This record gives sequence, C-alpha cells and structure tokens, in this order.
Amino acid sequence: MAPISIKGTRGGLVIQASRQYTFEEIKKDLTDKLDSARGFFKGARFNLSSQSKLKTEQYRTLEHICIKRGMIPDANISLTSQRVPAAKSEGEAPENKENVILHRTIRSGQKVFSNGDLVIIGNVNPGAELIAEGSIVVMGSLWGMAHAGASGDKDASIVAQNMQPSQIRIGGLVACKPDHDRLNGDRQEIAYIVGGKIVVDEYHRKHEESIIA
Amino acid sequence: MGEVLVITSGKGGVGKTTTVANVGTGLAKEGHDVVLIDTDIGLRNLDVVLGLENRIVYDIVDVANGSCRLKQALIKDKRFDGLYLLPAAQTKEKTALTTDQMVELCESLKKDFDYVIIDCPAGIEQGFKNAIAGAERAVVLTTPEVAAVRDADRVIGLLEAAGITDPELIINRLRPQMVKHGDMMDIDDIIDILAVRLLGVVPEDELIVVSTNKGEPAVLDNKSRAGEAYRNIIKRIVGEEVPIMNMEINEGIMAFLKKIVGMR
Repeated sequence: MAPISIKGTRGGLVIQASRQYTFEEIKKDLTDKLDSARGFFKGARFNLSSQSKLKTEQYRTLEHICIKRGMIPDANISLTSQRVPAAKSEGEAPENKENVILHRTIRSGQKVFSNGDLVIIGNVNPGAELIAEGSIVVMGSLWGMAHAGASGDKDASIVAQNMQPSQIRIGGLVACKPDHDRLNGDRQEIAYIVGGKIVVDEYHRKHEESIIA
Repeated sequence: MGEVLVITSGKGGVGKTTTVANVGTGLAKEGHDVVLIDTDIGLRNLDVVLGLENRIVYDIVDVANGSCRLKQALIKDKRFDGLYLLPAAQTKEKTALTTDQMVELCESLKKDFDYVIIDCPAGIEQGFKNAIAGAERAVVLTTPEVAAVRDADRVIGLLEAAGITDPELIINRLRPQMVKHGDMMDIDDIIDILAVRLLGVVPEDELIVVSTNKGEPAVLDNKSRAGEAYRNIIKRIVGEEVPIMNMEINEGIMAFLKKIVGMR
C-alpha cells in the first residue's frame, strides 16, 4: 500500500494516510499525487482520514496541502463500508476528529456521519439516520435514529430539543422508542448510559448533577 | 419559454394522476398552453382520467426512439384547445426511457407550451428518475397518513439531491371531520415534518371518483369542494396569493338537530 491512497465516493474523495509510513513520506506522496494530477482535483470535496498516529499539526499540514490546491474539506464524506472502528489504546488522544455542524432538515433516507461530534440545527425526520463517533446534539426535533459513540465510546450522549427518536444507540447499546407517546412538554432532554442501560433525562437535571459531582 | 413541473409523491395511490389532470385542465381553462406527460410507463392512467384513451396512436417511447415525431404523439384535449397529452407506453417497461431522452423531450416541449406538467410514477426507481430529470419545479403530493408523509419526506430529500430545491406541497384527501376529532394528522403536523411551502389542501370528495371514471376533471365542476381547492392551487402555481380555504364543512341538518337535542 502506498503512503497515500485516494478513493472516490459518492460524496467526494476520501484520502487515506497509511500507518506504515512516516509523516515525511506521507506528505511527499500526497504532494506528488496531487501535483501530478495537474489541477484535476481542484474543487473536489475531500475528507482526510488517517489510520496512522498523525499529530494534529501534521494532520493540519496535510489538509492544508489539499486546500492550497483548491480542494474543499468535508468531514461528511466517508467510506462507510470500509470504515474500521479506530482501535483505541490507553492514553492516545483523539487526533483527527472533525465535528460536523449542519443547518438543515435531515429527511427520511438521508444519513449523516461524523467522526467527531455532530450538531444538527433543524429537525431529524423519521427514517433519517445520524451516526457520530462522538456525541450528537439536535437543535430541533429528533424523530429519526441517532447513534452516538459509534466506535464504542460509552461516554457519548445525545441531546435533543424534542426527543422523539425511533431508536437511540450509544456505543453498542440500543434503545427503542416506547409504543406509547412520550410527553416531554418541550423540554430539552439527554440520553446517556448509566449502569449498562440507556436512560433519557431532562437535560438541565443531568447537567446540574455533573456540576455537583 | 415555459416551465417544467413534476408532480410526485413516492407513495402510490395518493392522487398524483388525478392532480395532474385537474391542475392541467384548470391551467388550460385559464388560457395557458399546457402539455401533460404521463411517465408511468406500463401503468398508464392519465389518458383514462382525461377521457382520451381511445385516441392514443403513438406514445412517449415512440417519440424517444424516433419512431414518430413529437407532434404526432401529442393528443389534443376534447374540451380545451391549449391542452395536450403525451401518453405513456403501456406495453413497455420504465427502462424503455432514459433520463437524457426525458431532458431532451422537456426542453423541446418547453419551447411551445407555458406549462409542461409531468405525472410521476410511484416509487423512487428509474421511472421517478426519468420523471424528475427534465423538471425545474416540483410539487410533492401527500395524504394525511404517516406512511404517505414519510415517503413524501424521502422524495423531497431526493429532489433536493437532484438540484430541485424548494419543492411545494399539496395535501390531498384531507377529511376535516376526522382531523377535528383528532383521528387524522392535521395540516400543521405535516408541515412540521416536511418543512416546505404549502401549495394547497384538497379535501376528500366523493365526486372525484365519479369525475375520474367519467374522464371529466373535477376542477370544471363548480359544485365540487375538491374542484374549488384545485382552482386555488392553480392560482398559486401561476403566482397569485390565495389564502388556504376553510376546511370546516357544514355537518348537515341531522347533526344540528342532534346538537340541539343534546345527543352529542
């Protein structure tokens, strides 16, 4: 495998840096590949995904190389089928987290992915899917499915202005909407894991608890 | 240069063909030049609803293949000079047409007509892709049912992805009585989810069944509630500001008497 592989997806390009090479090798390969394409990638949306232990500034340098050649970063692009959950070893800080903020309605059949946190300003309609490796915030009604901590983070949470999801997943746990209507009186709510179960609570109450703790 | 408008819904049976027939007829009655395209290849219905099924010689696939000229396949309406139908093929499949052919077709029809209205088949497969390929404007149709609204939402997402932004919504077959008793989704519930501009609300009307069977669109019937709703929709399509009509219906003399006697 080369230091850099560029893969085309429906949403744009996924640029992957291999973990078997040093940063200098990766950087050189990326520059060479983009320059040999003579502006072919200009205007293309891309997501830099690195399986190697790049430091934040190294990641930024690589991203900057792409941006300088007219490419547009878009954390929304992913190789969902090929995505391997990042192996988390102790003490290794998350380096390439890209948070995603979207200001629109997410409709049935649409899927949004973030390898960091995910914020939706708008409604998430029934049949829509949100997947984030971090936490999820919906500034609107959450009617669809939300999966926080998609690569196993049990500390992730889901917050919504109007929490009516068909299903919530956090880490490896799943909770389904009860068959009866949930009356929450337009209060902001949060879903998180307590004792191996997903619970939904008023947001400010959970928040106060964490301050006291 | 005319406008190409597609009427679509995702779910079947919500009233796409009836709406196309009524909106098209109504626009023609107002003096516009209108052509209706049936893209439901294999299950053509629009010709029946318009009462034109006996006049079909060539169809949309013949035009796309070059088996005939576009003008030969257009069927003139019985009632209005400005109204034409381009019928679907009945003996072929959806794949008999490509999106490129559809775009070309819409481009050439746009030159001669004020409105090109496309009747979209149910589903989101090839037939749907063909129907929206040449469209500039979309009207999404739904009924006040959860399944229909879900499909409408999916379709709006697909339209936006195809570059047809800001589709407009028609809510069809609303029963004001059921909404009043909380047994049916109301207009606000639907708008809340779909978040698009409301083009009109058509109440459930038994006269529609009669008029579709007879091939006489309800929009021409001044007694029909649905017809009145279609006439308002047409005004909004043309760009007039018309308030959404009051859905309250008179409950009839029996209900009135019961109310007095205190039975309800």
